[in-house]
Order: sequence, then C-alpha cells, then structure tokens
Amino acid sequence: MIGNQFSVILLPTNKCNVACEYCFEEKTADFMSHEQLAVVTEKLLDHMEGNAIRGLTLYWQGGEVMLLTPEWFERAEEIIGRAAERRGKVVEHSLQTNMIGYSPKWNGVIAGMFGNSVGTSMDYPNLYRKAKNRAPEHYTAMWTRNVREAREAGIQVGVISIPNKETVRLGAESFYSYFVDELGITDFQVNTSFSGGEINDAKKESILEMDGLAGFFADLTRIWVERGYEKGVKLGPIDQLMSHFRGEGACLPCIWRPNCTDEFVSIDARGHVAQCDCWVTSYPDYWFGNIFDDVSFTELMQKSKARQKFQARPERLMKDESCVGCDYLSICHGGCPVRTYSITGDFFVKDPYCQVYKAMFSTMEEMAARMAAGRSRRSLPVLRAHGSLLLGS
Amino acid sequence: MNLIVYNIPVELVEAFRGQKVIVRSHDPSELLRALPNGALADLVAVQLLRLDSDAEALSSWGHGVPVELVMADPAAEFAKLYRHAKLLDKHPMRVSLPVVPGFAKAVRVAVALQFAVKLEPGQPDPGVIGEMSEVLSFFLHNPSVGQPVEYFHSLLMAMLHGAPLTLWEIQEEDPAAMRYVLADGTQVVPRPPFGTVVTGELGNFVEIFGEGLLAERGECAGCEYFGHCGGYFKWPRRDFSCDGVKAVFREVRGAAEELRGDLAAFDQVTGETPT
Repeated sequence: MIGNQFSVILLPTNKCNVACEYCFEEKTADFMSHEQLAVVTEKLLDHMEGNAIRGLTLYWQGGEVMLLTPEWFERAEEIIGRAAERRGKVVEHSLQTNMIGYSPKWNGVIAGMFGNSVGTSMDYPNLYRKAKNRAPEHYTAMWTRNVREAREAGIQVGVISIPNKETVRLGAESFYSYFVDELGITDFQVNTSFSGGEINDAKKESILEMDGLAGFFADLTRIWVERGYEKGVKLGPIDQLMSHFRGEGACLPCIWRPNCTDEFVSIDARGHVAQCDCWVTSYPDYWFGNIFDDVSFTELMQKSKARQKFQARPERLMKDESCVGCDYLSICHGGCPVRTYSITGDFFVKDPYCQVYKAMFSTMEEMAARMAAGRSRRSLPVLRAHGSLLLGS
Repeated sequence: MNLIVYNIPVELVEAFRGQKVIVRSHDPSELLRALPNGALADLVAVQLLRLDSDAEALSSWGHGVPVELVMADPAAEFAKLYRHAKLLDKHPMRVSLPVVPGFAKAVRVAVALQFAVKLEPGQPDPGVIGEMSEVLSFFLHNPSVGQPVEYFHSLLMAMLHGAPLTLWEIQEEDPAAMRYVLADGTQVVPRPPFGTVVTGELGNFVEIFGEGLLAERGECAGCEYFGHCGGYFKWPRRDFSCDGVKAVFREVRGAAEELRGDLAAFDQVTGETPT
C-alpha cells in the first residue's frame, strides 16, 4: 500500500453469467461506466502521488468481467493510461475471468492490455460451478473448450482451484494429473474455500474436514516436487514455499502476508471500497467507504473504522493466539481474515486453516532440506538455516 | 574531519547541523518537521522511541533513511511491531530492545517481519541468560531468520573470520565513534541507561576502561573472550559476574567453529567458496 507498488482488485461489474453454488459474492446488476472509471483512476493516482507510490496493478475481476466488451476494456486502458502518463505513474493490468464468455474477439485486448495472460478458475472434480439451471458437467465442458481455444491462440491461462470433498476423496495424484496431464495447465494455484455471503448447503460442505485437507496438501506438495518442480510447473502457493525454504525470493500469497491492509484494496462497480473482493462482495459492514463520495481516497482509507480493524488484527493475534511461538510465523502471520471470519464468525482469531498451512509448510520445509542435503555432502544447521545471510555479510 | 556520529534528540537538529547524526523522537511528525525531505544529507538514521506512535507519516518521507524502533518493554510491546511492518517498503528497519524477561517474543515477531534486531543486553540478569541462549539458537538455526540479530550476528562473523571486533563496536556503543547527546547537550556513552558519568576523555573511554580491567587482574584478565568483549559486560558495574554471558560467547564460538568446518568441507567438495 505505501511501497512503490499499489494493488487494486477492481470489479467493473458485480454481475455474473453463471450461478456457482458456493460463490461468496452478492451479485447485483451494476456496471462501472467509463466516466466513473475516470474518477476512480484520478483518485487512485492522487493517493499514489501523496504517498510516493510509483506503480499500480489493477486486478480486473467481477462478477464476470467478460460481460463487458473488449471495446469497453480498450477504452478503459486508454483512460487509465493517459491519466497515469500525465502523473508519471505506471499501471499494469491483470485479468481474472471464468472464461465462459470467452471468444476469439477477446484475443486482441488480452494480448494488448493483459500481457496475453488470463487467470480463471476450475475445480476437480467440479461440483459447484454451473450455469443457471444447468449441471456442473455442462459448465466444465464450456470452460474446457474455451480454455483450450484460448491456449491455442497463444494465451497463457493460469487456473485457481479449490479442493472440495471429492477432490480430497480422489486424492492429490488425480487432482494433479487432471490439470497438468489432461488439461496441459502448467500454472495453477490451489486455494482453500471460505463460506462468504449467505450460507447454503454447498458452502457448508465446501468447508472441509481439516485433517483430510491437510493430508491432501501434503500429498500434493510431494507430488509437485517429484513431478512438476524440475519441469517448471507453477503450483501456487506450493512453488513459492519451495522458493522460501530454499532461501530464494518468494512471493507468498496475500493470506500469508504480515497485514493485507498493506498490500491492496478492492473497489466494486458501485464504488464500494473494502479489503479485497471477498469483503467488498460479501460483507457490507466491512466496507471502508465509497470512492465516489466527496472525500479523497487517502482520507477514506485513513478514517475507515473497518480498515482500522484489519490493521489491528495481526497485533491482536500475536497477543491472544499461539502464533508468536510458531516456527512458521514469518510466512503466515495468522492467516487470512476473510477465511477466519466466514468460518468462525470471529475476526480476531487465527485462520482456521492453521493445521492445513502447517502441513504444507512442514512438508515443503522437509522436502527442500532433503533436496539441499542431496546437493552437498554435509551441511551444518547454522549454514543450512541461513547461509546467505551469514556468508553475504 | 569529525567522523563521530551523534545520537541527538530531535530538538537539537539545528545545533548539530553539518554533523553526522541519528535523530531520535517519540513522535514521527516531529521528525518530519525537523528533517524535511531535501535536508537529510547528514542524517545517518532516525529512532522512534514510542511504538504506538503513528508511523505512517514516515511512509512518504526520506526514502531509504534507516529507521530504528526502540522498544522499552519488549515483553509488552512485541505485537506493536506489526504497526510498522509497512515501513520496510521505504526504509531499512531495525528494532533495538533490552534483554529483559520476555524479550524473545519481540525478537520472533521482529524476525518474522524481516526487521533487523539489535539486542541491548546491558549487564543481563542471570535469570535471562536462558532466554538469550534460546534466542541465539533461534538466530542460528531457524530458516526464517533473514536479517541480522545483533550482537550475535557480528560476533559470529568476527569469530568466524578472526576479525578484531569488540562488542563496543558491534553495539555501536564506543564513544570514539558514537555519542549519545542528552537534551541539555551533554555527550555521554551511547549505552542505556544513558547518562552515566564518565571521567576523562570520551574518545579514549573504551581503551582506558579495558586497560583498567586488565590491570585489575580480575575476571577479565584471564578471559578467553576479552578480545571480542573488551570489557563490555563490566560496565557500568565492574563487579558484574560474567558466567552467564560467557556461556553465550561459548555457544557463538561453537557455531563459528562449526560453520568454519562446514565451509572448508564445501570448499573440498566444490573447489570454490560459497557465495
């Protein structure tokens, strides 16, 4: 937030073209106009100037962004680009879409604005993603067809996947094989579920039993090390944990950062500002304010009581939870507030996926150490721990 | 040319214009007023003396100026370090903290946030030596440690390379190089609790103090660690018993020997020195 880079998850529409059962978003029919986008842009640039921030990354998502047109995005890029250039700022764009509305007419804007890359989502097996009144299989078929078509057009497709009860039952080997061997995806990320918004049966059952999920992630970690690591398959966040435990630069996901208020915010199509897309679409009580109100973005952020709660969370966790004694504090910091709140109803407790995270951390730590040991005849604990710190001085 | 760095209260910025300074304050906004962007040439670092102050003001000021968070009560304040995590985007950050019961929690949080740490052991109570050993072990063996924990880090390096470095230098407490300036302008040894009166010339203080200790033929005279200690733990009370701190020295020396052997083994295997 106050560094040289500022990130905004921008929802230009709250409308969606599918009806996934476990979706946390409260859908509305709102779209952001170009005039509104210009206001948002200027306010963000004011904020960046006031806080000496050079770069902005806009993560475009919805709702479903492909309910807008490629022409809308081309005009949006022009508006933002010109405003940023006037202020000497750099803006980058990233796109997250369900790919259901994809067609080749998007290829130009994906190449020009989004670096020929998109992010999308799919689960294995797909239990909850579906179009209105259609079965999940129908959704999977549409998604698979469109993803293949995009990849054939040279577009890099990254996939986010959320394990469900069947994923765990089938096991990590099946999961990995589906994405990498069957679909040919070499860049994907596995997230844990959260039951934001109005509760229903799908959301209830999407919160898995932690022992089983921990085992799944530990197995997936081992499978990726054995089959994907050397081949350059990106599997977030596991690949970043490998980098971390090998003492290389790692970009860990937002759920494990010291405080997500320092990293990004989200703005929806109505101008509501909240911590991330989960909060802005699920929990109105946690909105920071509205960017279209007669107040600067900086002031909105500074005065928000909701944001102050987020800022205070890690401090409360250190005092009240066991995190400070955890060997993995530096790569977790108590975990994700929205997962915590949606599952426990409490904001100031540690992430209920703690056990799952620890299983991933310890498995990867062990595997990274084993790989390091294989490279050198022997390695003392002090050197293995942080040789670069000692030797680089 | 005067190479001494002066640790001054923010009120004395004007009086020390042209000198190398570390400026301390309880209030970040005071620092901003006294040290506007563009007038930072002689500024070595700033110290924030209160952790509940609003440090966000420093986020758009003095990009690259080192900031030290000075903890008075680490056992109570450790969680407040999170308020300052975002300053790392703009400033090298260090936390200094007294070695008192409960300080290990503050070290753990500081390390987790990628802050460098400076321990201020003073003349540590025997009851806290166990916690010092625990923190030393954490520093030596935990892979999450990505920043130095002083004085352990520099002592380990000095022992590893046989460098003639003493704790007075490592801790930036040798008045030959660093002075702490009280609010009335008095210059004292830069070591808490500040204000202990020293007779004679401050610039020779460490040398004369060390010679005095050796001449007394007391505990320092036969001490195998004197070369790296320089009598650091005998000040201000000369009757301080060093049994506890010697155990810590021993652990650091053991790690240095282990590391030296490991590096030699690495050399043999690869024919090169690791970088």
